[in-house]
Amino acid sequence: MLRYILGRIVQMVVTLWVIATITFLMMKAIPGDPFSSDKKLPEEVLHNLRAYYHLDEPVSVQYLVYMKDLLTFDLGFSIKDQTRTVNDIIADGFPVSAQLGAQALVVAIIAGVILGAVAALRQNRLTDYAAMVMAVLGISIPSFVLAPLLQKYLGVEWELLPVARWEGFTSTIMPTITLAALPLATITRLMRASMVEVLTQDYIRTARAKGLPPGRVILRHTLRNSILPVVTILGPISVGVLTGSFVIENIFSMPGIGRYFVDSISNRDYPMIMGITLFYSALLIFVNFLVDLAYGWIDPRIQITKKGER
Amino acid sequence: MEPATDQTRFLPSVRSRTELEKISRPHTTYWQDVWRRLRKNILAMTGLVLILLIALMSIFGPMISPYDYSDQNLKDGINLEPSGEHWFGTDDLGRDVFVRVCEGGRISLTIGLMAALIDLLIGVIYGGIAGYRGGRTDEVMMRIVDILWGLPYLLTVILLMVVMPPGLGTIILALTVTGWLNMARLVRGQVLQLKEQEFVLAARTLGAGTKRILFKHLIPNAMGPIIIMLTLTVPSAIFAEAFLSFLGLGVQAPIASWGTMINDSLITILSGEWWRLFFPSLFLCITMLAFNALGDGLRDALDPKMRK
Repeated sequence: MLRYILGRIVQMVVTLWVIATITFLMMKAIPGDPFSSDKKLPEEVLHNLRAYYHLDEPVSVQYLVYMKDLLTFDLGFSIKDQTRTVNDIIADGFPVSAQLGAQALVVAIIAGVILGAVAALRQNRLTDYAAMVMAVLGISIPSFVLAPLLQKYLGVEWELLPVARWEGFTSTIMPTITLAALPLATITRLMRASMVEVLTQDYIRTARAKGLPPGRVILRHTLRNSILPVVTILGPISVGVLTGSFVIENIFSMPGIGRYFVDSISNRDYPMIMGITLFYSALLIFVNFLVDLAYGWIDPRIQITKKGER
Repeated sequence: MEPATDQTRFLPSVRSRTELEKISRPHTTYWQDVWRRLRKNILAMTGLVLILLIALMSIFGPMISPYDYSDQNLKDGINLEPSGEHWFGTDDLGRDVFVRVCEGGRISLTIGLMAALIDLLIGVIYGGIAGYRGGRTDEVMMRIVDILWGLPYLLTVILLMVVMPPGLGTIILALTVTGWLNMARLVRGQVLQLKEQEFVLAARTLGAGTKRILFKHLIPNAMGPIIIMLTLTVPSAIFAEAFLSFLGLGVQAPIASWGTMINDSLITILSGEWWRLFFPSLFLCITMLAFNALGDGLRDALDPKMRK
């Protein structure tokens, strides 16, 4: 087990290093630098700025400087917002993004598992069809279509919820719904499919035959066995929630990292783009690692250490 | 005593050799079987029909319309409501929304299909070689895939779009840089499973080379899962393009894309020109819905486990 974890950690570090290197090289491959568009600046100032950010040195030196800073978790200064470091901005924005993401994940997992389970128990009946129609819609409607719809009806027409901005819990409801829609639909479908399969297993019949109350059969025997596919996609789902948050935070004017990321892209603020990409990648890689460890805990039959392939 | 049994009941049946050899039913190939099952699936067929309709509309819409996607008709004012003249109305620059939706359809479908085809090409070759060779080759090739697998898909695409010159080719390239990994993993898994089977041994005994075994025996047998993966790649590529265009990283103005059109019309939530947001959103959703429905249907039709 320890060997497996160590191996995975080495692999995670290598992946991060590859991401950092690729990102760095791509940033350097673009002609011009962040200051070439600011024509107002005098030549000396530009020169000093470039020297300050090591932009006047060869790429190899810049790479080493960046990697050295990375080892101490220093992501450098934002070029457009020069009073703050990228670390500051991430520290400011992350709580907002994390709260939205966590709320969306919790809603998606709980509602998705329940909906999927109910659909499977009422297979081929009206409830099942209703749940499945919802799931297909959830997968087909992109968040940036759903968000304006919600804003229009819940926000503008019926005035139930604030249209945008970060003002207390009520303002997080709409972004949470939009973020949760896709993972909710995915989980519902997966849960239904695996539950339908588990319900036909012999051990369920045994449990029923020995007279267990239906609630107990479902909770103890069916749910636990059919939840595994849901766990396996928690990794990809968190990725989806994270990337979804770029758009959602923009539409709802939330002060999260996603919005800074989109801003930094249009400003070509390279330290910011790199910093946030690395931060997100590290987060996602870590989440995937946790998910892999969770398999073994949920289903003791799976021995992650012995598996040749994921 | 019992009455004598009626002897005529127990006559031996007369069966000739030729009759025995006759095939009672017409032979159905695997693919005919799949098509028969798919045809019964109403949802999947609706999806297929919708895809065809949207494709036809995207191809012929701009041809029959008197407007061009970048034409500005400002003499009657801007933001015109849908009418006989402009079926889906016009936008804030006086451009016809119907033609722009068709144009967006062309771009979405092109990107979806191209991305899926390139993924298929790279994924099948890479995964096929890794799976068939096995051993060291497989180990090294799959380690590379594992590392690239760690790259978050949309983040990579966004990064590529930031550094590369804008354009349709760039989007397709960005989508396929990590998009083929899924296909490669799938094909490798299938090939690993299939290559131990007897028909491969038979083919090798008959002197077939690696290339022949791979492309004539292994890949055709893995076609089912590959096709499912393909139909599900298309909507995710279409979504990614709309997502990028929405962020302002996709196709550049004045070219229309559903994503850019939705982004440009977000302000209409407050001002009330519903048609500008409604039509591109509707077509994007229908397209995603249709491909997802078709993919689900194909999964049911191709999966032998679902056979009843």
